[in-house]
Amino acid sequence: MRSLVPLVSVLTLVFGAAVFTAPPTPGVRVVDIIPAQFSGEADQDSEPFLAVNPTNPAVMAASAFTSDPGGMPGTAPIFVSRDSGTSWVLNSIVPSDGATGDITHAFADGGGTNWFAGILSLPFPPNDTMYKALMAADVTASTLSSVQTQRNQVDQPFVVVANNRVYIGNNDFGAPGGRTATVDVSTNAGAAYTSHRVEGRATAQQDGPSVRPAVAKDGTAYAAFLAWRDFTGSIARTDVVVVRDDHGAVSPNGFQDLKDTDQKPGRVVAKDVRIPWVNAAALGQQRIGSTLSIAVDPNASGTVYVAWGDRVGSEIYTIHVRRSTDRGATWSSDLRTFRNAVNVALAVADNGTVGLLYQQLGGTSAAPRWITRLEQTRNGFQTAPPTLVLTTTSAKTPAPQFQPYLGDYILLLASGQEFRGIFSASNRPDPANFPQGVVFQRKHNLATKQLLDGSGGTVPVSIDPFYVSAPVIH
Amino acid sequence: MMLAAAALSSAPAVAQDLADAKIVFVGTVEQVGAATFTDVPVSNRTVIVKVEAVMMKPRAMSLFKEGDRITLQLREGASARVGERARFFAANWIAGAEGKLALREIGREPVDTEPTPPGPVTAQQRREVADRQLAARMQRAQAVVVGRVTAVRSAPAPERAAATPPRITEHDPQWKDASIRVSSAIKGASPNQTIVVRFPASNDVVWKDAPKFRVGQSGTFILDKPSTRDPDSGGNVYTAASKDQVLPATEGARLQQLLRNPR
Repeated sequence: MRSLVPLVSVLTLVFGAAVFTAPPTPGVRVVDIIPAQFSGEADQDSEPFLAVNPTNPAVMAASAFTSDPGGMPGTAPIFVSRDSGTSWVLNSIVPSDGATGDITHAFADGGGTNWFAGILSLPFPPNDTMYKALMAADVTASTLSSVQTQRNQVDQPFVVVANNRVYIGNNDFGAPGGRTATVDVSTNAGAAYTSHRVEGRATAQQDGPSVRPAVAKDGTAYAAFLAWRDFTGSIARTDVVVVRDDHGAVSPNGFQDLKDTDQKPGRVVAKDVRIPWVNAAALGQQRIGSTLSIAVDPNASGTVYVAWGDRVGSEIYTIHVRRSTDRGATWSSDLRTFRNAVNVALAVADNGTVGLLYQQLGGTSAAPRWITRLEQTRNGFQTAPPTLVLTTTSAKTPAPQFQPYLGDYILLLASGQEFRGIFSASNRPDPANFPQGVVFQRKHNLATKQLLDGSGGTVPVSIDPFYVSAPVIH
Repeated sequence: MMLAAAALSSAPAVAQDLADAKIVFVGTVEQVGAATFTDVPVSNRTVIVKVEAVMMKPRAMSLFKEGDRITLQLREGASARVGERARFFAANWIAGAEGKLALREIGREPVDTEPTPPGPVTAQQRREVADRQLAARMQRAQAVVVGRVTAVRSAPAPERAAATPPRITEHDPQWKDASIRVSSAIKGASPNQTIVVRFPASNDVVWKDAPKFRVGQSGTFILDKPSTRDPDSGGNVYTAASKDQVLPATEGARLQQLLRNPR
């Protein structure tokens, strides 16, 4: 394993002109998590996710659309680190055939090593999906995760664990009346789940795929979703809605505590926005249509942030960030907007610092680049925050193997004094692509900017998941 | 290396439970109840194996090679003795840094009587192992044909309850039917017959492994009947879930030979 940072210094010295406009920020780490044993892999490891064990933050689990070409039939892999992200192994303990359709996960927060996941398991049943909620007692062990519950008709499960409860946002086509936005909640470590239908209004026969929970330490639980009011052509006319439950959604009819002027549950943060639904390359080879993130201040549950993507005017896709400081009752105007951006993830640290990870198309039309940035703010984006460029990679290569090219989501978490996150990007080992430096586990040659198979051959550039950690600012 | 050329040439197709193994190697058990690195939970089912010859592996696992010492988790109920030499059919389990690889055993064949290979495994020997698995795969297929795609059209919409609205989802398979005119029937079809293969045209991740058919495409097609993955065809419709099930048309004669006379 070698870091690019020393090479950057060397290049700077040798060639005089700085390779990067700013030196790497101390304490920031970017790690390509594909292990050396898989140096020959050239798959599209998009749509990454990350879980940190709060009891032992050195232990983490990560995932992506990573298949295990040598895996046991009926199993899929996750990545596991036991040293705070310095090194990663691939461990095939997920009950899905080769890979997963979607996967998100989180560790128990009440001690121990329990790990909870929501997946779309492969193969799909006829004309349907197969959602499974999983639990593993130890992600470092060999035991296949157990299936705690499963049902058809569910899309995009999104797992959050807080206060010894498991929250799984999902788009459930089995919900009555086309009000599909749902949050499943378990108060007994996944032994049983209660489905809360969080859509309170008429829909375009369904909501959008993304349903995202966020929970504060005092038990206040929020969920954001994209309420589709009309779907015409490839545009979903959408309300961005936030619901709230002041007691952790442990009662049968949860998420009813935040009402709008129509007295229905769910405050409309943005009304009647246009979200393009393009299940093909739409922006830098990436599809668009369901970008959403929510984060609550863990110690001040009245402060909550939401980010989503929609179409503004003739633009392709724009991400917006807004904030409420009164438990979702009122919302700011846009605090941040990013044109031509696709993925966004918010997190709030214990000291109230907000982290914002996003991927934006930059460069030129002839040479477009995906740029992954991390921002931190201490004042709720009242002033423009400093921005770290984590990666800047070609948006033309590699060619997509499927959609999504980078993923329909990325993730950022607050863990003690660090923000920890994950995103997918091109793995070309070019120092100029990684302004904060990078660590590759897989075989590579920095001088020739090539990936190697370990026996003298080169490996094509592909999309890999990258772990990032950065100190929380004070 | 004579290893296994002689042995393989007279061996039957591998047992069906070994046919899907993507990792095949010859090795000798060195330790029982041990592991080669700390990420592996040690049990009485974990053994250390010295790898003698790698007969088959996925391209991604490029560091796995002759001379490696790896951890192998024996299949449930199996045991092994120190010094036991076998051809192991395995799956990946834990993959980490260089020298850190643990596999799961799917099955094994004894090779105690085969000579130790004097050199690296040849491409021909690797192909022989692959052919044995291919023969087993064809044995469980419903049809194996050489042919040409003459038409591709949308498949009939799946039946839904009248009150069920259509869903808008990124995982929509977008089923299509490919008509294939059979020029040579290796198994389960007749020459000049036209058969239909239903396939997902979607480029969503869920369907990334499924072959996409296009008009004019020629090939040798290893086909199954619809299972849980595919819509109820209610008729003479085939499927192919993996790109491995589509081979060049020029492979037809070889596959026919393999099916008739498995190595």
